[in-house]
Amino acid sequence: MADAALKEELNSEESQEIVQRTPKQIAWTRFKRNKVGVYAGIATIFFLACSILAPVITRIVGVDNTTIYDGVLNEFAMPIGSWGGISWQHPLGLEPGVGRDVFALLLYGSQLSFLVAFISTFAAIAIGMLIGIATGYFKGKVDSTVGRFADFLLSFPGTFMIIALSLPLVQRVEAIGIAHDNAARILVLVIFLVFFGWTGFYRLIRSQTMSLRERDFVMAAQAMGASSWRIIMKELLPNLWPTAIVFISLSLPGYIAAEATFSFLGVGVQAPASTFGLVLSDAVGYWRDDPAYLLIPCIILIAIVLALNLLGDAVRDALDPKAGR
Amino acid sequence: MKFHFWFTTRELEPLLQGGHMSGLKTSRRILASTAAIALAVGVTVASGTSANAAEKPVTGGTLYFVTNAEQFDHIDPARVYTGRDIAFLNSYLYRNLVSYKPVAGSAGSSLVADLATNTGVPSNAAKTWKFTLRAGITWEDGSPITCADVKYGVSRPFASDVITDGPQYLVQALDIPTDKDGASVYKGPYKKTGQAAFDKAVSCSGNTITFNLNRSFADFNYALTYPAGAPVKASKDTGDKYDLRPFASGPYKITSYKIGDQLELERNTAWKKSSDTVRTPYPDNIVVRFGLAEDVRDQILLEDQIPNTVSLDSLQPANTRAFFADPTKKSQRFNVYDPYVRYAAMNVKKGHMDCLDVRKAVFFAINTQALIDLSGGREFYGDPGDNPVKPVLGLDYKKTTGNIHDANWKITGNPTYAASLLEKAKTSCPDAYSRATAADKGIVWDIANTATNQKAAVLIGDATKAAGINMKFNFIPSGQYYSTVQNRDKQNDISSAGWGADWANASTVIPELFTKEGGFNLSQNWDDAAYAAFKKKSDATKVETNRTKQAKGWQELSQYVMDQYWIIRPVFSKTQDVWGSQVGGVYYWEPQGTFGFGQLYVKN
Repeated sequence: MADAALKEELNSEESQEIVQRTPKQIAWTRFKRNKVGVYAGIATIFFLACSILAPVITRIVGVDNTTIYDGVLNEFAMPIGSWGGISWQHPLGLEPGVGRDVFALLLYGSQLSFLVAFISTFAAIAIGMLIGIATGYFKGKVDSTVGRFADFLLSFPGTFMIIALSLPLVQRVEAIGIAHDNAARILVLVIFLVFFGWTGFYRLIRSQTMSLRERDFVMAAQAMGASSWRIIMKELLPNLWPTAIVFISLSLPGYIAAEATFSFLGVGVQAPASTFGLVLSDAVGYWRDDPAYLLIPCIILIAIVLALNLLGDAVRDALDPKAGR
Repeated sequence: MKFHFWFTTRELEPLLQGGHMSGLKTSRRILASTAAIALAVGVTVASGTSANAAEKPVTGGTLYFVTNAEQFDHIDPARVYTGRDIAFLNSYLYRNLVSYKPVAGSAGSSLVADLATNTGVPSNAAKTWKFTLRAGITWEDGSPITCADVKYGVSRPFASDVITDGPQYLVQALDIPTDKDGASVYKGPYKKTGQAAFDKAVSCSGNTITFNLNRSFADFNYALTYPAGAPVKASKDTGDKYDLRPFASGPYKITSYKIGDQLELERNTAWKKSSDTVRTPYPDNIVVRFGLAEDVRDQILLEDQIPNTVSLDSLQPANTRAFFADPTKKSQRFNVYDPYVRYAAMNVKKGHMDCLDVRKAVFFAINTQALIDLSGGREFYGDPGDNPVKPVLGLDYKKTTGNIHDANWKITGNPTYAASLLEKAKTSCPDAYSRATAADKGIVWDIANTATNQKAAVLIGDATKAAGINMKFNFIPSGQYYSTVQNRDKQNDISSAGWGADWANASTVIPELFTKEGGFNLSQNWDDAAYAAFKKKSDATKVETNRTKQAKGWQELSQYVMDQYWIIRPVFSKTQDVWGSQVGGVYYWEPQGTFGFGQLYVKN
């Protein structure tokens, strides 16, 4: 009896040690242990949900991003009431000069900000991944040519190019008839961000691919006569995903901030649409009279970027604990 | 007169170059496209004369001026065109044949003799003008100002390769033949091509100078209030460099002028009070400090840090409000109607706003109240107007009928009535109707790309949408705005604009804005069925020498313009100026739209 019990105990102890955890599970455990990361994740989900559900939320609150409200501005077109006209009807106050609801403007604005950030991030990563694997795996002439081109882009003053060329490019896009007005501006902005954005990721993937292709399991696959396609898809890609996920989570806040910066500078969408950058650049003109109008979008933008950054850090720590900060 | 000082050199240059190349008249008092931001926000004010006008002026001291600008656009008399700069330089540095009377109110728009003994003697149906120079007038080196100096000064604007940006009245009005491109055959005193033709048009006999003009020009002497008609001593003319150090004939001369830093003036000892009935130079020194950051400039005035300072600029909107809200600064500010009318020009060319009902629909739909509030409210931005001519022009302004006096007009917009006008357009002009309402077409409004205009676009778009009009906006960078919309092919359906009379006669407004030859026609109205009759009357009124009859003509033409809705929603705009607590003798010099500089003094 005792013997059997002991054996069972031993067994269970043994089985505990033997339990195989997949890398995903290990990462998830590590992530859960990081309190800051969890809160950042919750905050990120909250912001994303708010943004996606903007039409529903604004309906519940009873505001609208296109309505120009009557009787909310004084004779100098400044919001009536303290803190930029914050009230139960208008939880974040009113836009000076026009009289739209700031809460609704920011909610719908965040949709555009997230849209630009997501498209740019995923496009940049897809391109960087494709070219990175191709050049890293096949090396040779293609690698050196693409490498020089990437160096050229990295050393290029991309910000100036975006500011200088966006207007003529938008006009060209409109003339061709691909898109109009804000759609054209968003398209051009995304193209620029991707064009100058893929190189960093490409370099990372290329160097990882180069080290992976020398590893035994790749050699073994090659020895067994596996095609390059199979090696890339089955042997290399699964090992590159963690890098990609980390890069995505760290790129997203960067692109959100970039979108805000460019629309602040007048590149990107224009009124009557709104994004964080547009609201902020507008608010700068009113900071003496209506500081709330400047502070509120600032705080929200900081919160979003901070949450995404902390989440990104936590994801990196979880997936790749050896990587130094 | 002049561009307003909001106009930066950068904005001005493309315009004037365009004018020279095409041989067209160059436009003058176009309102800077970004001006709306400069004006804004505040509380009530006294206007006109300073409250302390009764005080006795004090001689001596240093008077400071501060500005955000890096320099005066020009100080060469033939090139200066900004009302504020003309007033400043004419008061201190140089003298003209005639001058505006240096007093407050509408009396300031009358002329007084300056270098001349009277305000000019017209003859030959005002095609010939004679001026006789008074005795005892001198340059800063003590040499007398002669008729030849005046003649030389008048010849300089003809050298359009060197003397740029100045007013073109003399070039256009003097009876000198033109070549096939419309340019004068006289090429100025440097090249001397066509000198004989100029000598015929402007001649000296003793102390009397005679101008022969190519048309009846009843108010030619007003054109001579521009320093482009001021004397220049030929031996002191340095061509392009004269813009840095003009030779003084007024009560002050230049000690130093550093662009981006400061301009210093000291007394011109050769100037004699007995020879000048216009100027009263009180301060010993005058210093203009350039390139101050806007916040710094505003702080100096708000906290009275340098009490003997006058701001050459309007303060920033929020600071203007703060300044005007302070009861202790009551005698350090004025809030007055500036010389400008801001309006939206309808491009009535076929395929654009060629339908009267659609033009009216746009006008009645717009929420005027919201647009005025946006730019600073009625107190600080201006009032809804009913005329291309501003009431400050006196004689030539008469309240029109229709437009804002129409029973259907509401200051907050009347979308219902606008929709009914649009419904009428469906049958009266189906093409224009479909352009205005179709989702893929719409009306395109040209507007300068500024923060305020971005918001105005939202307000206009919202109001016109309620009436069923699809309004789109073409935002043009501020510096390129007027050069873009003045290009007849690039101008869209509606264009925002602003214009001020060059002197108190609507001959500098109506023909400029609404005839094909005008320097600032944004209506492109010469194919309009209503144009022929208008043009005939305008031409007749322009050469009318009976001022009362002429005024009646302009009044009727203004009514005509408003009835055709060639422009909509004119705004009679305002401007605000402030100064320090130790500056005395301040008043608003109406014809120049700025301070009467000559009477300023520093209190003890």
